[in-house]
Amino acid sequence: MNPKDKTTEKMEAFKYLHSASVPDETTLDAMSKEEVEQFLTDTGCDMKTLRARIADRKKKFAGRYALMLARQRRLADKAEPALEPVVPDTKEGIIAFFEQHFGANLPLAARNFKSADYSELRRLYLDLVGGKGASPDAE
Amino acid sequence: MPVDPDALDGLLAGRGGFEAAYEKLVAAAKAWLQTYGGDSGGRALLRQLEAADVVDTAFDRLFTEGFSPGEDVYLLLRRHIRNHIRTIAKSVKERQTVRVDGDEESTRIYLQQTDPLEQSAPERALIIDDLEYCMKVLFRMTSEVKDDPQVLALVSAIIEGFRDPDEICVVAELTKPQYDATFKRMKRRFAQILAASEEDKK
Repeated sequence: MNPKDKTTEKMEAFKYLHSASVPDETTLDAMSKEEVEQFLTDTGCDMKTLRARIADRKKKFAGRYALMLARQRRLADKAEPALEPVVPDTKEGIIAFFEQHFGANLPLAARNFKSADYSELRRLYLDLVGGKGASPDAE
Repeated sequence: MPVDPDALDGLLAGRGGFEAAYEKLVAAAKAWLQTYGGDSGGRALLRQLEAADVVDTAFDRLFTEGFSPGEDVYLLLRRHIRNHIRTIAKSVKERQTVRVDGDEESTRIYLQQTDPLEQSAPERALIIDDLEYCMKVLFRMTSEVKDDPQVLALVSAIIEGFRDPDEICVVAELTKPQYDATFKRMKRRFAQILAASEEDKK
């Protein structure tokens, strides 16, 4: 087995020291606040300056966060559809609705409603109450 | 529009609040900058970056792109940081054009590009771009820790090729508790020397 040359040995030693000293994601996740601050100090970070920066960024980013939430709310309001009326799911239900709500004052278009089938009654209902499925010329 | 100054503490409550999370993100950025930094191309640009600035860039991206309710904001920020650093490290050298003149009828243009990430990023940075730098750091490590004979003995054992703690204890004449304490001191000294060497390169 050929012995390693000195340069290779030293490079391997450097890599070993580097991986031991520079924390990876798992190591960082497990570090306490004190350990993190120790690492930052060891790597040349002025903690007093950093803390002042953090206080400033907390205010700045709170404003950015509020803007983001406001923008998301506006987009959500635009996308929300108008509420649709609940159509009774039987012919008898629609007829009962007409008799209850209109009595003798049923609109002219609906005077022969009792002879209509369910789909015609549904369209008539939506024409009178409003919503999707209404006739194109409904008011 | 009302602004709640403590809203970000709630957002990062799982990581100890905004301050603790920001510090940890700065530490993560420092670690990646040290790992991916090098001497050529985009890697050289990384040496000019400040870790805290990289963290701020990640926050800007977070609030511009938004996130879903319940999403782990800390992990998202960390991903933004890492992707930002890797993108810069991967940036190729500028194209070079070389005109070939002669008796031939055509002029050929040669495009030269390098892809510094054929190997994994740490390997590339340590082996090809930074051999001289690595040797320099190692030399500093052995000369600057002479005030701590146990750390020096530990580093010497590692340079000789020893990795197993029991073997190192024999070679460096340390007990196991001494080894554990010395290893911690060694890590801190190495991190300090690495950071000081990074500053020298700027």
